[in-house]
Amino acid sequence: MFIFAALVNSEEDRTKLEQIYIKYKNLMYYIANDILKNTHEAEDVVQNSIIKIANYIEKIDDINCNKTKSLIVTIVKSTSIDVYRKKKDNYIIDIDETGNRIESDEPPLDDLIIRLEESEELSKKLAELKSEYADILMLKYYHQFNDKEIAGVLSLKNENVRIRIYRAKIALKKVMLKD
Amino acid sequence: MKINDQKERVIEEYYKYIGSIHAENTAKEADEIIEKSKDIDFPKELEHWFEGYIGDTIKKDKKSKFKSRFSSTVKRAAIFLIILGIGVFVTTMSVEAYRIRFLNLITEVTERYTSITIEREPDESPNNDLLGESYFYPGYIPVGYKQSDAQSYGELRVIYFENGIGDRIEFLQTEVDSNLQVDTEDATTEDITINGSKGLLVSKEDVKTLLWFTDTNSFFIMGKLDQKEIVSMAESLEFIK
Repeated sequence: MFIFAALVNSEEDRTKLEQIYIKYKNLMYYIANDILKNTHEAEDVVQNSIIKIANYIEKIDDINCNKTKSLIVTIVKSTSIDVYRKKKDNYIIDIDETGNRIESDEPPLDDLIIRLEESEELSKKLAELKSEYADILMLKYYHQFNDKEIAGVLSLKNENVRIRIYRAKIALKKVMLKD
Repeated sequence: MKINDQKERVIEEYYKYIGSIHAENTAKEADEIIEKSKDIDFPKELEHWFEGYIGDTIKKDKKSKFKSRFSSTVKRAAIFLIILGIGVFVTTMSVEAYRIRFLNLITEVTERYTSITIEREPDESPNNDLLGESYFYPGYIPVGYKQSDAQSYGELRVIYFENGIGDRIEFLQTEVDSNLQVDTEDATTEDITINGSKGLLVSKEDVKTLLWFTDTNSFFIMGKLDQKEIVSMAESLEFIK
């Protein structure tokens, strides 16, 4: 059922994981159940999410901060969505992940003036457009995860992480242009 | 820093800012859900699973620490044994007689892999049957010399050592009452002490003769040796039964 790929090595990390579990177990179970509408699958998702969190336990300093909360929510959501997609008869291939070429390495925002005062609104709109785009930009630039770690959190293949990051930037540019 | 690099850093910082805003928004959602989910029925199976998971990590952590400690102890023991072995080897090698026998022993072992019984080579084992049941034998034999013969005449025993280029050492032993004679004409003589016993060193041309007496025996060594060698040979006598 589960591969206990991650085992917490130190007592300090173990204590941290226990505290995270106690504080956020209801949150994780609620989110998973809300997406999957199935308690057994929700339990599986919570277990898998705990194991994933254990993988990144060293990156978590304060278990009560927004950074930690956002990471936990992202992990649970992406794990739930992954289970949901696999449940379907036809596995839904995200159109973003079919692109094999990244057209340009240049940042897509270089011809726009960055409107900092509208960033909050822009971020919300991006998340509404496709939450996975906002998630991946958050993981990459705010949480400072590398591509391999992002792949682990979002249950993606390594090569698809770069593609999704690029697509996220394109989408952000589109959202800015619309405004 | 180049302009493009600076621009790239600004853009990355902007993505980081967008990411941080998204993190805040997500955290707000999380707080709302935490409030909503306070009283939900959390599955006991998940509680049991988590207890088991933590238990497994503790067990594996202990096992890993034990393996690490064991490995460290084994390494230390191995290093200690190697140092001890080197120490014993160096000590053994420092005594020349033992070095010669030891090296021959090693030679024997390397030449006879099928056998674990160490055999001494025949020419290392003097055929001293003619010397009788007990006799004295030098522990130190000057370099290059090997025993070539052994003779017994009543209580008188003579052992000869040769070096392959015609030089010979004569080692004679007899009862203390026997009369040993040496040619001292045109020779220099010197009183000498061998292991606390009185002796006489006679030097004539390049031949040295050493006579000394204990409570029970008289000894005589003669050969083309320097004083140090002849004295070392005399002082190294071992009683062989």
